[in-house]
Amino acid sequence: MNDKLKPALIGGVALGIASALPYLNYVNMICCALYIAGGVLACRLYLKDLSTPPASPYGDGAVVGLLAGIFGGVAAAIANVLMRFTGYGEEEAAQTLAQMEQAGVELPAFVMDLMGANGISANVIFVTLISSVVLYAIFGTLGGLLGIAIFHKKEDATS
Amino acid sequence: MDLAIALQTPWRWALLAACFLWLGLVSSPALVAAPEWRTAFEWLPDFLRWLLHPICHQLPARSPHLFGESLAACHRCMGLYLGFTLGVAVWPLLPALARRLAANPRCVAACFIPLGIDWALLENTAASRFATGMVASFPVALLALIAVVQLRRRHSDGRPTHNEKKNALTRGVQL
Repeated sequence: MNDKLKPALIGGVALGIASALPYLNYVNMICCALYIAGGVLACRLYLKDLSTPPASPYGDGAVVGLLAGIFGGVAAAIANVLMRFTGYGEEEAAQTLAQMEQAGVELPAFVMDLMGANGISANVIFVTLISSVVLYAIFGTLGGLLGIAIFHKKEDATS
Repeated sequence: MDLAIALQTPWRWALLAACFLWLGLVSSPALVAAPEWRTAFEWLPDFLRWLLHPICHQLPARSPHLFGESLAACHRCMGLYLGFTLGVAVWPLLPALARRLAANPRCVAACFIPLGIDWALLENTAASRFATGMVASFPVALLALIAVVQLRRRHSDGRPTHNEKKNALTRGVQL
C-alpha cells in the first residue's frame, strides 16, 4: 500500500489545488479533465517508482486513482474554504451565480447559502468536503485506469 | 486465464448497479421536478444541480431534458455516462473484441480523440456531443471490468474464483 500512497498523495494534492484555483477550475468543465488528470498523474508516478512494473496492473491503477481522488477531494475542499476566507474567488462565485441566473436557473436561498453566498458555515464546509471526496474519488479512479492504459508495459492484461 | 471467462465476474453486476445509481443521480433533478414531487422537495433539484456542478456546466441549452426539465449533466457528459454503463453491460458479451482491446489498451485513450475534436469545433451539435462522449467512455468500461477482476483475484491469492471455475466448466475450458 505504501508504494501507492506517495504517488496518490502527489497526484491528488496537485489536482485538488488546481481544481480549487479560480479560472483553472473551468478545465473541469471539459469532462472533469482535472480530476481524471490527477488519476493519470498518480499512475504515471506509481509506475515510474516501481523497479519492475507489472504488466497492465489495472487493479493497482484503480486503487491509486481512487486514493488520489480522495486526497484530491480533501485538498480541494480545504483550498476552497481557505480561499473563501481570504475573499479570493468571491467574484468568481458571483459571476457563476449571475451566469446561472442568465441561463434561467433560479436558485433558492438554501442553495445560495450552500454555495457560500452568505459566507462560510459548518454546513458549507461539510457538504463541500463530502461532495468533493465522492466526486474526485469516482473520476480519479477512472483517471487511474486511463493512466495504466497509457503508461503500461505492453503485455497480456489478465496475465 | 481466458478474458471472456474472467469478465463474467458477478462483481460486474455491482459495477452496473453503481452506474445506474449514478445515472439516476444525474437524472434526479428532472425526476423530482415533476409537479407532484415539486411541492414536497422544491429545493431538491437545485441542490442536486449544485452538488454536481463541479463536474459539468449543466447549461440547460446544452443539456438533455426529461419531462421538460434539464438533467444535471450536459449532452457530452450523458454520452460519457451512458457509454460507460453500456460498456459494463456489453463487454462480457464481446470476448474477441475485449481481448484485442485489452492487448492494445492505448486505443482506449485514442477513443477520446473524436471527443476532443468535437469539443474544439465551434459548430457541434447535441447528437455529436452525445455520440463522441459514448465513443470515448465505452472502452473505459473494459478497463474497469479488468480492474475488478484483478482486485477480486488478488483477494483469492491469484487462484481462479469459484465463479470463474463454474464458468470455465460450463464452457469446457481448462483453467
